[in-house]
Amino acid sequence: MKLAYFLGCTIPVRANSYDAATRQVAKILDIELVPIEGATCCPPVSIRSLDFKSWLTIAARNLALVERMGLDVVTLCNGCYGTLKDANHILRTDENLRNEVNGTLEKLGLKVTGVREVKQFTEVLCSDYAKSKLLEKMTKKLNGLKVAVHYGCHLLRPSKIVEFDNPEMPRKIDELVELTGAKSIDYQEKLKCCGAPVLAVNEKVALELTKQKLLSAKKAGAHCIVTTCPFCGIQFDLFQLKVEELIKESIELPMLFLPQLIGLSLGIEPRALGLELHRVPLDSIQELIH
Amino acid sequence: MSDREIEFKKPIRTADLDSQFKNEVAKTYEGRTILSCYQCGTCSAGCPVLNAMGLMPHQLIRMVLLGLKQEVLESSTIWLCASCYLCNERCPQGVEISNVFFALKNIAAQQHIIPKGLKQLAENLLRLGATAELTEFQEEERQDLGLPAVPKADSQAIQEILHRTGLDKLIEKRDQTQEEEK
Repeated sequence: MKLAYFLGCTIPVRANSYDAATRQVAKILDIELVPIEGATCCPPVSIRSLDFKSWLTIAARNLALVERMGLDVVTLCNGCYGTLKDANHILRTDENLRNEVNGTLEKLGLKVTGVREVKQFTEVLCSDYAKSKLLEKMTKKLNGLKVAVHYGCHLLRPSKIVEFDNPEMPRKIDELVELTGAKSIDYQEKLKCCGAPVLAVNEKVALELTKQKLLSAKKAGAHCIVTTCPFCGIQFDLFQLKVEELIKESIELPMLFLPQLIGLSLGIEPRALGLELHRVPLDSIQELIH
Repeated sequence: MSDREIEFKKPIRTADLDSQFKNEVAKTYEGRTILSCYQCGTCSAGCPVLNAMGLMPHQLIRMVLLGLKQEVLESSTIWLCASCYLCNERCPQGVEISNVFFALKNIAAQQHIIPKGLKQLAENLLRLGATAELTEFQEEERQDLGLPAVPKADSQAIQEILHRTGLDKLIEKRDQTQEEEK
């Protein structure tokens, strides 16, 4: 399978480990990830907050580049996914907006129709093909590891556009986690936002949300938290240190991106998965993942 | 019952209301569902940032419908929305509350009410075609991980788009920017 690979802004700047692990897993699944020349920022909801037409037109340009490649597009970031998926939906369903956007894109030598599919890498992992191939290659079972799964808002909602999983009781990532032999545990704040979207407006509020998530996962007995979004991941890893400072107690809950957890089970070295770059060390789960 | 000091809420004066405000919001793509709100409060009940908000989401919607235009546009609450879409998901009336908030923020931005952090993001986007800047450090990190170089973002295309939509002009005005809330 060949997919246009939409990397986005945040991953190369703050979450290269996610990119590294994804490419390792994709190789095992025979998925070719093709870079998108000239792609820009998706752009995020913060730009949508300032001006809808700017947000839609920039997203449409990225989609037009993908359409020109003749491929469906896959993202790693839930934010990029939310933007491209929603924009694609709007461009498919609203003729007036599509025509208006194409008026601008024409000047750039591009045209958008909304014909291509937007996927998040997790959706690719959920296919029957990927699951059976992974299961066949998973040589290391992570038995005993208790995982708190965090979906990230934009992978689930708005569900009538995203259509990934049941938005109130999702199971798809939990099932992928359990393929590795680890156990997905339930926790009170499982569906709550990580706090990242408010970070640029008010750090205090963002950290409060992050704190609630981490403490809730910890209280439920999780050994680590697993997510599929770089923003959520940064919030749980880098900003965990800030939360610890704030509440003056240690949490020490390692964060792993889903392909990293899967990679460990596939027997890939932690270093090749970028796990050494994470700020919260994996010491506390070392025995369970080796 | 204690003899606490009673504070009267200020009455809303109908003469101060802008009855067209709700239509201004409802005619936008993002705000088109607002008129269906019947004030059940389900949006507020599930909101993850409710405890930090001065006004609850359903109150803000009611204020729009009443026509308290400036109170809504100058409220810091609209910018605290995490855009998590939980309210959209649960609204029994199909009001897309997160999107209504986008519409309100868009109208506030037209009045140059823009939080500093978001202005910074928009400036980065305009300059780099990306919201964050890639440094040598990260390029080395990518090399160490065996990752290919990141394709360069076409910032010129972004500049053309933002010039046409007018967002470039909107973020130029420095003086009236709303200060970041502590």
